[in-house]
Amino acid sequence: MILNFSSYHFKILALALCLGIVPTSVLGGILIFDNLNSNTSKLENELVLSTTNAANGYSEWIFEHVRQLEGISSDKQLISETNHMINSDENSPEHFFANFNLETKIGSELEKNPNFLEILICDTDGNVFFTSDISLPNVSQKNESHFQNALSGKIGISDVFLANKSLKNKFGVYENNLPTMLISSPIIGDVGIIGVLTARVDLSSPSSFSFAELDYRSVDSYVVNDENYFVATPKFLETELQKPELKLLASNPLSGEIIDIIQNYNDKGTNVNLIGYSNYNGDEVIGSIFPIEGTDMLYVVEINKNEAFIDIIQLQIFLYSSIGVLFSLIVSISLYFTSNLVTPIKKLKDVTHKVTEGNLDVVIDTKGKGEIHDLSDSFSSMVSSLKESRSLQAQAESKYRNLYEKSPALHRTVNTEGIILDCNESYAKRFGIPKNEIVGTSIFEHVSPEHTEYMKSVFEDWKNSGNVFDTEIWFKTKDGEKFPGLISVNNLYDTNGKLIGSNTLIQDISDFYKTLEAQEERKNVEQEMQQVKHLNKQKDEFLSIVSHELRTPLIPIKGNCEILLDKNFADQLTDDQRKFVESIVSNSKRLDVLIDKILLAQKLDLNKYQFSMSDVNATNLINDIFQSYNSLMKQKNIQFVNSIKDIPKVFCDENALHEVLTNLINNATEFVPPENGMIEVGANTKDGMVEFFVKDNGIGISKEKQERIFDKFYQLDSTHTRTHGGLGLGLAICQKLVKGMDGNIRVMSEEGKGTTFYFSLRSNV
Amino acid sequence: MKILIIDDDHETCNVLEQYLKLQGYYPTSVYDGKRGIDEIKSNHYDRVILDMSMPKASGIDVLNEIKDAVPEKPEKIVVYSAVPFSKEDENLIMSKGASALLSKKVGFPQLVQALV
Repeated sequence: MILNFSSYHFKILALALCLGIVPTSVLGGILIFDNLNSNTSKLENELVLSTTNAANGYSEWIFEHVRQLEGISSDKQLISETNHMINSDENSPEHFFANFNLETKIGSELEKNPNFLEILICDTDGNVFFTSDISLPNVSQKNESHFQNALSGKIGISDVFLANKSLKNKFGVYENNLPTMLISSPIIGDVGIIGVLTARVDLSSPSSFSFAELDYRSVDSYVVNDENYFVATPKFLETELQKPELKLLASNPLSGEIIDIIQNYNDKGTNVNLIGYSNYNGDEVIGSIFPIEGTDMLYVVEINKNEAFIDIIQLQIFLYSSIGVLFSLIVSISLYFTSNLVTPIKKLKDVTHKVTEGNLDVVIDTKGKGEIHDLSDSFSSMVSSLKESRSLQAQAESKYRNLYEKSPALHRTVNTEGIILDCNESYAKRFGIPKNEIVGTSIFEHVSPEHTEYMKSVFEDWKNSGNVFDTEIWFKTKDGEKFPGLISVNNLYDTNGKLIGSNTLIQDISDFYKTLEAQEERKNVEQEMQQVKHLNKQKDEFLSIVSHELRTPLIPIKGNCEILLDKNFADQLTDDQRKFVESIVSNSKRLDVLIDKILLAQKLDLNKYQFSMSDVNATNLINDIFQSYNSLMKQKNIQFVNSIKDIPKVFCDENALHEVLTNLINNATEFVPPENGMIEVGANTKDGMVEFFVKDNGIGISKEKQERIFDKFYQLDSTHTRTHGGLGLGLAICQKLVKGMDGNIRVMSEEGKGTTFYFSLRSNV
Repeated sequence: MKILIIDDDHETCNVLEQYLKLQGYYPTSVYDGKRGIDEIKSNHYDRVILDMSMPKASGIDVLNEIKDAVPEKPEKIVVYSAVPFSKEDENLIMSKGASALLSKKVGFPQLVQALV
């Protein structure tokens, strides 16, 4: 298994370690501390007790010797012989025997107690007069403390000192430096103290009871003097080894300072050292020290430190190994979890990352059992449904994209800066700009300049409210074409719900406007039509009013004249009066004619004139006209020529033809010269048409005037001093009537020579 | 011969009455169509001179009213109008029982001719 170490591994490991090791350590610590406490106090007690016992034992052992010495000194024979020795001459036989008896006595005493190395007797002045060892120098004991003590009646005990000479020890072996002490007891005779008995005692071989007994394998107990010299130790009881000079030194484990523990004991009275120190053998020990009463010696008990604290060490070892095992267990478990929990989780996490990044094509290992498997399974199905929904979304997006892209409506996507981020084909096409040139430009560039300010306010409103719906804006294409559009937005928000832009829909409503304009135009036309109709109606009414109102006053005028001209009154009028009345009648009739003309011209203008077409015998018509004009022409001295020959019947309205002819004839009479005036009326047949003409020898019409003579109210003579009257309606009426009968009218004229009007009408014959 | 003149223009009526009296007739004038109808219904007239455009009832109304309702109809009803007629108007008026249709521009002598 390859482990990819991730932070999870370390986290789990750390957690496990915290959960496992820390409590164990604490528990262990508490155990050790408790154990240490109970152990050390027990140890201390044991040590102190055994040291005290041993010291007491050793002391007892020494006093046994003292008691023995007292027994010897109080022996009557010894006292007696001592008296003899003191009170007899040195060379006397009495002295000699006494000495001999003492030797015997002491010799037996020495045999009884092998620890007594030698015995000497001195007088009260300290002079030695008897010694068991002849090699002993005769040294005055006078200044020795043990002697002084004995002399005062007590037992005197000297300090420990080395023998300084070869002495046989307990085992019969000679030693040079045996530790010894001198014990003195007074010899009391009848008269008081007569001498002092002193024995040298071998201190190195105490009886076994006096050694400390402790339940430790490494117990070491020995007696030292206060100058750190070995006095006795069980180790040396059965050996001939030279006893070492002992240094009971302890090194402070913290500061490394060397402490002389005997000095330390003397100074501070501390008799137990559990911290440990190096003993004379170099061993690491703990120890206890206690003074031996009545001597300058001390008793020391030591135990190997390791052994002494074996429980605690074992506990420590157990604890450390437990922690080790625990650690290994935890690491193993962590690794197990790493491979079985973290690794799948990590894989799942990696997959999650991929999914987050949008990669849904991930393989999820759903092998295994348990929650991880369930999680993987759920995640797998989640990814599947995500895939599915993504696919649906993609389809929807694609559909939307197509809708957006292919929509005939104009779409664009803008941000809140008004920059176009995207647009559809319709948009690009409508504005006549390639899409890539549109993207990145400002929306205001597409707005008709006079609408820019309004657009800005709409845009600001949108940013504040998020609302734009069917707002009308005028746009401008690249070609400068302006068109109206309705803007609606579909807002875009980020995940925090902040407005970031919009999909804008623009409905091009120029067609609507065109329709509207067309409708308006139609409406206007209809209105105009209505107005025209109304005007026409008014004109019709005007026509009726004019004819009625103008003609009505004429009726009584003419009627009164006719009464006057009636035969009943004929005789009552003078000739002049008759002429006046007749003038009134004729002028009334002229007024009638004028009214008729106005009405006719109006009718023709409004196409109200109803032509009743029929085949008309024009020859007869013209003949009748000639008849009626005859007298007038004679009166005006005009030569009136009728050059009509046989012409076929003409298809026309008879009244209209009559009107045209009489109009032209009347017109001609206006312009012919007063003398030798001539008017000719005739007709020619040509291509199924009959062309009539009215010719005069009048003043003629200039070319430019010829073009306008058929205009209504056009006056040939428009000067202020016009000599020719009329409303200027005659020729206009003629043209309208001829054209109304499918004919043509034209003029041929030369100024000063005359004018000829031609008009042609259809002939069905 | 009793002649009823129906015309809203008083002057015309007066002069025409004078003229007709001179010619030996017995003319009476009324000045609107309504009274014209009443007059024709209540009194017998030999001839009627009828204007067309009048208040209360027009010449056409008068023609319509008297066409069937009057037992003894006037022998001739001459329409004498200042308004020019179209052919259709003429036909309509004639069909309603008018005897003749004259424009007011024609003089009284021609009117009398049409009456007789």
